[in-house]
Formats: sequence, structure tokens, C-alpha cells
Amino acid sequence: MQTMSVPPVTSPRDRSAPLIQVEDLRIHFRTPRGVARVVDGASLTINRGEIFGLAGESGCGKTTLVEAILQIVRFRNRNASGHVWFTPRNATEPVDLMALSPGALRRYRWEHLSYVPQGSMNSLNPVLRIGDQIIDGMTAHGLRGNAAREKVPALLEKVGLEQRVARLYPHELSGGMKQRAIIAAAIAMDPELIIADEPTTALDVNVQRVILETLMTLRRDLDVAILIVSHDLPVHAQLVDRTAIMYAGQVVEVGDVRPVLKNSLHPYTQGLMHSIPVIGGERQRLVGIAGVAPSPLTWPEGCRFHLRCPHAMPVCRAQSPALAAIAPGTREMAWGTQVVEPDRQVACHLYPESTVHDGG
Amino acid sequence: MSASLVPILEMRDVTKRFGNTTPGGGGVIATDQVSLTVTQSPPRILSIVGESGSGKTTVARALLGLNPPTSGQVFYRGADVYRLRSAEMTTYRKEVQAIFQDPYGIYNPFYRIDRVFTMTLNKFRLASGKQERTELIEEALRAVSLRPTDVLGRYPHELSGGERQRVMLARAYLLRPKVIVADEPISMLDVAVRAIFMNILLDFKERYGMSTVFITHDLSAAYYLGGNIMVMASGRVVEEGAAETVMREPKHPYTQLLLKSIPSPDPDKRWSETGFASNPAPPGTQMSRNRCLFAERCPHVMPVCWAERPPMCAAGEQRVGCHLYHTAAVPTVAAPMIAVTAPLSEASRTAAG
Repeated sequence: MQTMSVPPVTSPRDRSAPLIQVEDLRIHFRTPRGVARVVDGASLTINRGEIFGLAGESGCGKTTLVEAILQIVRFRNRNASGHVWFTPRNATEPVDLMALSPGALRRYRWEHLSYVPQGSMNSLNPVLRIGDQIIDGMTAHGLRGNAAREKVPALLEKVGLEQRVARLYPHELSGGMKQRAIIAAAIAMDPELIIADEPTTALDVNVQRVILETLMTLRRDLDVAILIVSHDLPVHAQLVDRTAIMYAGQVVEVGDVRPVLKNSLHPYTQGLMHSIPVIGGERQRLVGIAGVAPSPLTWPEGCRFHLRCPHAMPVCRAQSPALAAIAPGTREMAWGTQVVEPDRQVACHLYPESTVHDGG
Repeated sequence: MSASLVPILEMRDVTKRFGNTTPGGGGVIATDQVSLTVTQSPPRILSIVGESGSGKTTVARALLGLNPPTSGQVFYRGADVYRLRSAEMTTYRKEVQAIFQDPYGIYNPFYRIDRVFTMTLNKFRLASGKQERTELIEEALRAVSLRPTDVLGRYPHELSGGERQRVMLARAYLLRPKVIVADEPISMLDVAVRAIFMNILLDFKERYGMSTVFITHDLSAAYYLGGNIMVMASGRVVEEGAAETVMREPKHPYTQLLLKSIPSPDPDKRWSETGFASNPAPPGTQMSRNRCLFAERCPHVMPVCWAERPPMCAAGEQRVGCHLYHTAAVPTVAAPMIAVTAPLSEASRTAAG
């Protein structure tokens, strides 16, 4: 793509830049009841071709974060700061999506970064055929009508839909077929990243499985990166390569999905995993997480999880822990020996790396 | 003496049709001869699972006296729910409590949370005096692990979904019902809150002898709650038995499909590449309901499945509505559990396209 016309933004990153790098992102909304700090210092990195999962309770800022990546945050009454570095294919320097004009952004949307919003399968136009709705997105981004039409059969095939679906109307499709039609539209311009917000929520388990397998197939066949937002950790376990756990507007733990879920470092992640019943196992009483999720109007001081944390210490009330790389190895924790694999990051004072000292 | 043997709630062959259900009429048969029993001693949890459209909610509404069946009957302590006299109706309304799916839609936004409790207390004349009223409300809130000061005096929008759903449980608790009918109560809650909600139901059963009819599409929740399970598909019961047995050794191909599709939270137990996906039913063909309604998606389909409705029959420790286990129809049953693994990859290839 024509990256020449975009002014290169110098960044401290090396040349083999990741696809997306979100740095200290803050999206604050001014509301009549005060400032809602919905995303408040979130950082994460998405590599090329990987499936990245974003998890967390409702209200933790997942959707606002992905909307910020695409620069489509819905409300106007906001203050935003931080960076969203994006390195388009064939480009050497990343661009900061936060700093681009709407015209410059439009070049990247759909062609580089496509989006499957939450519940979008229910917003298909009921009076247009599926094929025409897939074509719409392509013509809006510069393809001629005929060229767009010719691409439809291949797109449907990629998501496992029959050709006849192009001629059908949304009401003739099941939920799973609609979701696959939406995904077909999202891959129409051969994007580098598909952002799918809760793509399987409200679908039956067997349909959910078909959707997740469709996404896996797409990643394999198209070498596209996928950012999947889901509150459902089993979805992460099945699908993603790396996962980030969000709590109260911040990323509190990130790493390869296997260690994050099986060997969780953050007490919040541990609490989530201890809330999921597993079929066939010993029926133990689930612990859950005590307390309620805090409000973005009044995040707690210090570590935002300390009010609900079984391991809270005095420092947790006083100081906010930083998302820091944790040295690999084993260490003794309150719950026993904790193995730390390489490339793990967590924001929790139980790990001294997270505690920022004055002047350090 | 015999009173304790009469089930507290019972459905006998309940069929509910909506609209014109003759072929081409566009109507729906939501439940098709569904029978179930909810006992009171000992208290049990009965989970009803199935995909959307399988008739779960229609069963709940029939049990709650909200949907008169087209045919068949619903009994409360041996009396037809839809023909109760007014005194019986009052006890029925007290002993059978409902929790619905949407914790946002059931509150009147203009009134404080307290009203949910005071209305209940007034209606059933449970408290004499303000002091007793406050005590009862606070006890109920503590029974669902809520702090009265966090909840009372607030408006519904000030509470989270999990808190609102627990307030509904607290309201039910005030009445010490014999049965709670909960229709997808946890599907809109976060995982940590789900666990807490289910623990309360287990406590209610153990401490206060309350039975629960728990309607869910989440099989792992049903497994966790234990008790009995009823798997529904296309308005029919396809498998029923102890939750543990049905989940560990599912007999009906539909139950097997559901269980195989549940994502495990263990990244080491990912679906294999040649996984198993459902084949959508071929549309168009006008077929009668006098057949197995799962035939289109079944990896073990036989000619008899298209010709005859499978009767419920015993298979292992559970009961299954499937011709594979109906010895009269198939004299030689090839061990179905073993046969399951083979056709799976084929099914997935067709679905993956």
C-alpha cells in the first residue's frame, strides 16, 4: 500500500516492529458525574500473524481499547492520550494512529485493519442480500463494483459458507452463518489485522466452535493477525496464541496463553480461572472473586484490584503496580511454588519487578 | 404421609404450539411431549440444557404458570397449575419462585431496590412492623452475600448485573420457596459472579431445602450444580439422568455433540484439528415430526431415524430418546460410544467446507 504519503513517525522501536503497539493508552470520558477513566494506562503488543486475546470482566474497558486502536471511539466527550503504533505491511516505520487525520486513517481502515464489532451479525441490513453487503465494504474502499463482485465467492468459501448464501437475505441465515458472513466482509480487503469483539457471545456452543475454527483457518490461510475480545477464557484457551487480561482500564497480565491460564501470576487471573467449572473433573466448590468490579468513575487508589485481592499488602493500597516483565524461574508465593516462564508480564506488587521505586 | 411423595412440580407430556403448526404454516412446536418431575424431599437441582430454540424457556414458563400448554398438564402438588383455586394459587406463587435471564430488564427503574422486598413482604404478609421487616430484608441479603448497606436505598442502575441477580435470589429467599425456576440466570454475568451465584443456589439447596430448575445453555454450569440434567433438542427431551453420568458418558449423539463443542479452559486440551462441527440441517425438505429431529446432524443416522420418532429408553444409567438404544428397532446395537470417534472427522470436513 502507499505508505509513502504518510509522514513517518519516529519511534523508539526497532525495525522488526510488531504490528500494533499500544502504549499507555488513556481514554477518559467527561460525564455529568465526573471523569470516567475507562481505559487508563493500557499497554499491549500484537505481533504479525498472531491471534491475540483480550479478556476481562464487563466494564473493564476492552471494547473502548479496541475502538481506540481503530480510532472509532464512539463518544465525543473524551480526552485521549497515549500511542497506538501501527506498522503497515512493507513499511519500515510505524505510524501513530492516534495522531493521524481522519483522511489518513481511512487508508488503513478495512484495508489494513478490519473490525467485527460486538453483535454486528445482528446489524446486517435486512433488505439487502448478503453478497451485496459484502460488496458494499469493498466498493466503499475503492474497488470497482465488478471486481468486488468477483471476489465474493472466494470470500464465502474462506469462511465455509456455500455460494448460494450470497443470494440470501439475513433472515434466511442462522446466527452462525450471519457471523461468518460478517467475517467474510471483514477479510474482503485482505487486512493485516481483524479485530473481533465478542464474536461468539450469544451463540450456541456448537456454532461457537464453528466460528472459532473459521478464525483459526483464516489465520492459517491468510496469515492475518486476529485480535479477539472475549470475556470467556475457554475461548482464549482454544484459540489464541497470547492473551492479555484487563482489569479496571489496565492490562494486568499478558503472555502466552498457556502459562497465563495454567500458571497465572496475577491474583485476578487466578480468581477468574477458579471461577470456571470444568466438566468431568472433581466437583470442587468454585471460589469466584469476592466483591464487585469497581467503577471507572472511582477506580480504587493503588492497585485497583486490592479491595478484592486475597493477597493484598499495605503497598497495594498505596502504590499502583506497573506492568513489568517478570524474571523467569521459580519463586515461593503465598499459594506455593510459582513457575515463571520467559516473556511474562504482570502488574502486581507480589512480584517485586512491578513495584516502582522512586528514582528507578 | 403421601404428601411428601407427591412431586412439588410435575410436567406430563406438555406440548406447546405457537401459531399454525401444520406443514408450511410457519408455526412452532416449542415443546413436544415433555415430562419432568421436581421433587422436594430430598431437594434436587434439575438443569435443563440445549441450544437456543430447543424449548428450554417454554418449559420454564409452563412451570411458572405463564404459558398454558396446548396439550398435557403441569401439576403443582398434584393439582393442575392452570386450574388452581385462589388460595392454592397464593401458596403456589409463594413456593415456586422465578429468576429470569436479564438482570437489567426486570426492575422498575423509578423505584429503589427496597421496593422489591417490601412488595413481597406486603403481598404475603410476612412481617408485622417495620423492625421485623428490616430484619427479614437484611437477613435475605446476607443469605446471598450482599451487604445490606450496599444495596438498600439504591436504584437498580446503581447495581451491577451480578448484584441485581442476587437481589432477585434474596427476594426469593424471603419466601423460602420450595422451588426456584431460574431461566438462564447466569448467561449475562461475568465468570467470577457466575460462580458466586451458583454457590448460592447450592447453599439454598443444602441449607434450606430449596430445589432449583436451572435452565442454561452452559453445560459446565449444569455439571457444577450436579443433581439431574435434561437435555433438550427441537422441543424434545433427548437425554435425562444424573448430571454427572450424562456429562461423563453422554449417550445421545446430540449430547455428545454439545459436550465436544464446549471449549475447555485448559489450553492443552484444544480441539483437535479434525474436530467435530455440526452440519446445518438441509432446508426446504418438508418432513413430518414423526422421526428423529436430530437426524440431519447425526453421525449415526439410520433409515429408521427418518421414519419413526425415537421413544425414550434406558441406556446405561440414563434415559435416551435415540433409535441407537432402542433395541426393538435395532436388534444389534454397535457400541455407540466407540462409533462416535470415527465419523467425527468426516462431519467436520463437510462443515469446514
